[in-house]
Amino acid sequence: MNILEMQNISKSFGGVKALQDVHLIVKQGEIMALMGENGAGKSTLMNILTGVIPQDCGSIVFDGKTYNFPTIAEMEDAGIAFVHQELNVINDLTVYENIFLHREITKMGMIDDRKEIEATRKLFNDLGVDINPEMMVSELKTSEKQLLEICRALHMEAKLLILDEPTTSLSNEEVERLFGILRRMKEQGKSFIFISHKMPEIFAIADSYTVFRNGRFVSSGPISETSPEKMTSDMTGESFDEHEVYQSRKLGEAVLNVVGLCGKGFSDINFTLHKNEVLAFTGLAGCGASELMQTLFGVLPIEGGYVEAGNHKLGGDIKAFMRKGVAMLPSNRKENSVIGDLSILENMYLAEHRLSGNKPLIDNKKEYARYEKQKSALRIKAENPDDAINSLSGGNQQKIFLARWLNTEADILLFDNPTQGVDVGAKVEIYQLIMEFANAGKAIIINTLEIPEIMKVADRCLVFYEGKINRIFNHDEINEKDVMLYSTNAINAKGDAASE
Amino acid sequence: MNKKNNVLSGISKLWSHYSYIFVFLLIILVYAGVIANNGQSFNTGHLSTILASQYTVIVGTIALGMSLVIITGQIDLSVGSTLVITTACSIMTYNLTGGNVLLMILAGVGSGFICGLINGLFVGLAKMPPFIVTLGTMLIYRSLALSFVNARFDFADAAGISSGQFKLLNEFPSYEFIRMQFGSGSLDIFGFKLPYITILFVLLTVLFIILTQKTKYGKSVYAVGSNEKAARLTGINVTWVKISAFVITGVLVGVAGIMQACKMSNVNPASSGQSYEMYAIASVVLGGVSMSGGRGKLLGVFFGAMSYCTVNTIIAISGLPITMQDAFQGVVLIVVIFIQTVSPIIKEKFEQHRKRKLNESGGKTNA
Repeated sequence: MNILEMQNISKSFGGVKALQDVHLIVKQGEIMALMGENGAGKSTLMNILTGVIPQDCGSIVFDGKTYNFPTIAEMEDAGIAFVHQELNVINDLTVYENIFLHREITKMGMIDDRKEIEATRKLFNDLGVDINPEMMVSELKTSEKQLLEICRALHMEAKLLILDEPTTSLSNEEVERLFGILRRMKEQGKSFIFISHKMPEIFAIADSYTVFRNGRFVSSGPISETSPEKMTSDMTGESFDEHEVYQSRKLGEAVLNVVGLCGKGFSDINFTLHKNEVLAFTGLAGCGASELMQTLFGVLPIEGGYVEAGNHKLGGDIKAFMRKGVAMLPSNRKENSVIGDLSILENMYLAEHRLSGNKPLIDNKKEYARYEKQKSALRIKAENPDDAINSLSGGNQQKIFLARWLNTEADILLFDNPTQGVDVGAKVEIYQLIMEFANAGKAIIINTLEIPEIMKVADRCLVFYEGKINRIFNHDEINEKDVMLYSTNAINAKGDAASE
Repeated sequence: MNKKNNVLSGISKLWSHYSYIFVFLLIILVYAGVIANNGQSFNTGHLSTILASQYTVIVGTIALGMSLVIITGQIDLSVGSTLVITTACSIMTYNLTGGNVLLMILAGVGSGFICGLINGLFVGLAKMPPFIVTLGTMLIYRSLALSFVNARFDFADAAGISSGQFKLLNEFPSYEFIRMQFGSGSLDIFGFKLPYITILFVLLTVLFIILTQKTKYGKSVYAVGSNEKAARLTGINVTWVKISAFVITGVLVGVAGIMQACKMSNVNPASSGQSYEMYAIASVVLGGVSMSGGRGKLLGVFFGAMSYCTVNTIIAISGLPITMQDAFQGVVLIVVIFIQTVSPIIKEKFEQHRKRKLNESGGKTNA
């Protein structure tokens, strides 16, 4: 029996088609893995399903009932719960208060805490969750918050739970525990849509799968009838080749010299960056690479050691680094790059204006000319530079921010997670652009958690572990397994075990 | 059908970009109606009165600065009290220097600069919430002026301090010029009287439109209000931009103080400029500037100030009981902002409804 059938769903934002005629079917009591790269349309479809945004056309049948343009409340009542990647628990309340939020048990108009605690304890017992109901949520580990959110959804008697990358912040042990709970709930007849990028997990937990690519349906079926290789090629498209972008280059002179650098979250960092070179930083979340990059741009203070560009020591505020020819494309585009109230053009020219403050008036003619130049160089798809920045797709927005920094004519380009929230096509284009920049004489550092990305663009890769460089790989040595070994420091753990 | 849609979307675009002009015209219409009701006919003289009113020029000048502060995502509650200080400084300087207009201007603008800088430094450098800082300075500035006026200094008479207020002395040769010409005179353009003081306000508005739309500094003000973190990462010195917004506001309050001195010839610390911060905020909001920062046009603030002034005038002549006048002001403000906030929401619902209908009829033809 199918608990959910979504047929012929389409949705466009402005001119951008986010979903084209896709369908999705979930059977009662199964875990269905929804796969696809960023920008494939997974979150758009889930937002339609949960009533956050209306579809342009298509039908939704859930639990035998047809829903046309449902509201959020309707879908909640129908029994669909969305466990978001960014956790929606309230830190300043206790665990049981979170469980009973908006549905408090009352006795004569007052909240009956004792009953709520009792019920929470029972719920946790049934699910095999080991959390004290009376703890403050702020004291919980991230993994426990994740479990709490799932428990809350179950307590609301959800029939279908959407889990959006529920394992990103969990350790292997915690993932196992979560999977145990999911299997038990599956037996009780609950259904799941499981969104994840991690292949091994998908094959460990899911019963069936659906793959989207660029807003279109690609394939679906029982998980036993596919393989990780097949699924990867479904997700990325047949023409996908990991090494086709990379070209080796002759490196120029050293342009950035980092000596004994210490700062927030990292210490004693030494490396040299050359003209024409693409250097990659990688490591687990919190390894210090992003902080190092921000320190190289004056966002965070230098706490020890020094940085030299040419023969000048770098220091001071962001503008001082910009004057020395450094530019940084920050991670998390929406939060750190997008200035939503300004137009495309205004978003682009903002950084360059800091360097040309001696001419206080804006020369519109010059700015439009520059925009046109960047637009064709970066292959930006935009109608009118005076449109709102948010009218562009993620990839094109990111290209505008690339243009923002190319405009400053910086020689040293720092890219922090540049393909975050960018669709597959635009990703490849950004890799190609990075190669073009390197060929044109720029020195580039890219910080990323995605190892395939490093293989596509980097000449060298610095692997960080707990704020230190754990290993430097040359291009030919970079492979997923070794980089992972040094990112997690598994290689040294093994060494320690052997020596004992 | 298509043509009709085009016209509709054209109007809705015009409305969303220039709603403040529609608001102003609507309020003027009401004003004309009230005048007609009183048995008079609406003429250019009425318009000229609005343009010359202190609520247009003095509050309007302050509102230009206030909008800059609001666009950066902050607030300045101290402007009314600052106005008392800057007016007092310019009046005393004029009186004590034997009617030196240049020094009077310097004193007004300079004292405004200092008051604004104090606000700016606490907010920008000490990272204190602007609401609290300017609430504090609002109390401090007025209280300082009050105790000064009551202190009976030796030079009080020469400075023009008498009976609890600062008063412009009329014994100097320049008095005729600043009080009678600049302060209350007007330029006659084919019978339409354009007050000189309004010309200054218009020039300031033009200057600030250029500052916000055509300069790199202006764009950084919007950027800071729209997304402070992203603005900082483009190299904008956010602290400096925030401080500068307060300093510019202070300077504008200084200019407004000089206007007050020339137009009213006195300032009373106990009552002058009372609630001007609220009037200025009302003008800014009526001008379509977003209170959450990052959005709004200075031309809007110009119309906002005139709208606010007209509302005041309507109340004054409508014969409304004095106790109800504030309530009426409040209602007008809420209604205008209600329309501005709710109309995009209604528009969106309407769009959704239209799409749903299209979808349903599309489904039928398929079946």
